[in-house]
Amino acid sequence: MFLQKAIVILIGNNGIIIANSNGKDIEQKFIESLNDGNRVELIDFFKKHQSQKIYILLDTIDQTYKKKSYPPIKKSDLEKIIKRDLAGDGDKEALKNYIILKKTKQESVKLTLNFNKNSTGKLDCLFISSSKSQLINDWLSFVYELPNRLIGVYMLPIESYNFYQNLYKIKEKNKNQSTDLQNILNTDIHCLVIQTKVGGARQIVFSGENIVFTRVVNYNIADENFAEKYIQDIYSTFEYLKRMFIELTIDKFQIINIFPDSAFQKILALGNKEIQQINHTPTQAQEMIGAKNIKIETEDRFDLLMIMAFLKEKPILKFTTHKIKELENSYLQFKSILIANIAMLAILIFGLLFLFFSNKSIVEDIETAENEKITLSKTLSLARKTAIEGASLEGEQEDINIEIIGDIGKVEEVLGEFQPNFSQTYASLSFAKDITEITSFKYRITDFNSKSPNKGAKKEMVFNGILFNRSGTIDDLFIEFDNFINKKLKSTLTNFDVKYTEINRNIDFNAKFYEQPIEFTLLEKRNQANIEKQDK
Amino acid sequence: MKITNLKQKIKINALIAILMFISIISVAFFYNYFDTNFQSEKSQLTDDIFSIKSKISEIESKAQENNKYKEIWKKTSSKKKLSTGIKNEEVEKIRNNLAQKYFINDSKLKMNVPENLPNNIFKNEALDILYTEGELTFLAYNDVKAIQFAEEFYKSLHGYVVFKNFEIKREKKYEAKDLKEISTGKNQGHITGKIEFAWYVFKENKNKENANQNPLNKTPKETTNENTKNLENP
Repeated sequence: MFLQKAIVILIGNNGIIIANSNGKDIEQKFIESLNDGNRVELIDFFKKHQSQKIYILLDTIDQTYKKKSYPPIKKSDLEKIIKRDLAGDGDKEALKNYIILKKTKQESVKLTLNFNKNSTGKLDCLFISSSKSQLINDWLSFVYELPNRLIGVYMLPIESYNFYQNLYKIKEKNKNQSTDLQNILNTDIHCLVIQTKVGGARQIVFSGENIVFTRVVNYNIADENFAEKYIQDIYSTFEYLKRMFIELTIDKFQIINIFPDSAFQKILALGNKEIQQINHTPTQAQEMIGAKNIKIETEDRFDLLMIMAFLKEKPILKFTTHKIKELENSYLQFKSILIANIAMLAILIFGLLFLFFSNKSIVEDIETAENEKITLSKTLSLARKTAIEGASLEGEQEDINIEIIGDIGKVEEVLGEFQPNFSQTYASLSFAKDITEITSFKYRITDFNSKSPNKGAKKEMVFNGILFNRSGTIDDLFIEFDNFINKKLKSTLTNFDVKYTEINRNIDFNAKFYEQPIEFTLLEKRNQANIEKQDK
Repeated sequence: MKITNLKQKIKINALIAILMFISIISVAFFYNYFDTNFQSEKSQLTDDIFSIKSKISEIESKAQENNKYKEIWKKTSSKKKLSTGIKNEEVEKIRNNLAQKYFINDSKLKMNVPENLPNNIFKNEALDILYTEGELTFLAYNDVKAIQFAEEFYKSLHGYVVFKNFEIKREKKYEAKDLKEISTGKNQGHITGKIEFAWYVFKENKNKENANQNPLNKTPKETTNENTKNLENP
């Protein structure tokens, strides 16, 4: 079983138990009262465990439980009315609080009870108060000065419901229900009878999940006439309950005793068969609530069982004072600021780490970029140096500026190709000097614009002349013409496309033709290499 | 827990919270400051790198171009590179000399006033380019002399000459009396010739600071006309 880590101060009229839970075990201390003799020792004890929070659990006799019915209104409105009623109570200093009672499920109620009856739609509220006796005041004043955090004040009868429900695991829907649990479920009113060391014997009556009332009884297990007093007291309680639960019968009234075996034997010895009662010894109860492994001293066993049940479950109803509220608010502020500080510290650490890594990354990037820049700058210097070295042409009469070389190169690229080559071409026609006579020759460049010279303009040469035909016959004329054009001209001037004017076919075939006018044009071929060069 | 102790703790924690908040703001500020500076520096470096790369690329491209032009330069004759401008009297002198050499008669040269070619055509940087257009007409005794005259006229001019149109024409056949007249100097030849040409020459640009003086403005050596030696009448 896991318990909450805390210190519980159980205050009763017969003494005080201070129990310190570390989660698994409980260390406990009993004192009769708070006095100067033990105050220092107690302060040391609390200082030693100052991280432990403190719960004050009251098992005093001056606790009152008063039920009040309200008309069916909204819960928020009801709470306002209840708080007003609480504030209007006479004892301003008393510890006060309330529980809005839960409606009992009809299916589980075998009796028609007028308690918490919903037929009229009324809402029931149980007011609980405990006057701040000197005992309680002394302890509160003492606890306020301790370094430990005080959570609040709680009433043992109210919190005993956790013990009661833990005892039978009422909330668990267990199919293998024990006989005791079946008895509990078959009855509607349950009376838990306990005896603590600090508070003495006490009856606590539950109806479903609600506490009905509690009272401290005046018998003691050690008394000789304990059994008689016990039975008498049970009947008194039953009679009292009959006022609230008109149809309550004794067989629907279940008593649950937490007594030593010897005490229960005394009760059984009286032979009362009418009262429905179950008894669990403190040892059995410890086992039943799942605290078997926790070692506790026999004398204070039941007190510690209640404390364990309290620490195991969420407390039911907290009672506060003005000082506790103030402490709570301040603690809340302190905790909020502390959480904010932790969050800000985390953000700060994250921010610093981010700043560090981000800067590291960017510094590395910058270093890389700087290195690249340096490398490139060197390359640039080298390129410049090479360019400067190459910016002039040595070996001439003197060094020549590259810009001049560039200017001349650009012009040469375009205009250099217009060098006239007609003299060579003209000379190459010497093969035909015996059969022809050239009367005119034209060399021209087409598509050339002087104001904006461009590459790719074409050169052409046009020859006009006479082809000699010694025999004068038509056949020879055509043969000579064909020989001249196709066999001689085209085969000699391979760099040119040859265009020529054909001999007129509409001629007199009987006439003699010793001379035939001819005209042919040579167009310079532009080979692929030249075209690519020009395109570049 | 003592309320005074708790309040003291709240004060201390509140103080820590304020300090923490200031620290966070400072870290955020420094992050922003450094990040902005670093990013700016990085951006500057990136720009520089890009700029250097561009320059390298430009220089390499320029160097490649220069190498190409150097090769062209080596192959280009000195005469083409001269930047002495266009002088009419020099051209006339060449015409006269060549006319005498090739027995050319009645040669007439008409030339336009030279003008600067806009720089955007050749994208010339250091030298200006002057250009003019001209027409040369003449009479020759035969086609070979006419062609030799035309070719040597072309070669005698410095810079770049483009014959846009060159034409020779035999007006009529030679007869015996024509040959007699030629021997007495009464006949100037039956071959008419006409050359229409464009002429481009370099001229130093004195406005350009870096433009060196063209060292090639020396008197060109006379080029031998080997081609014309082989020219025969077809």
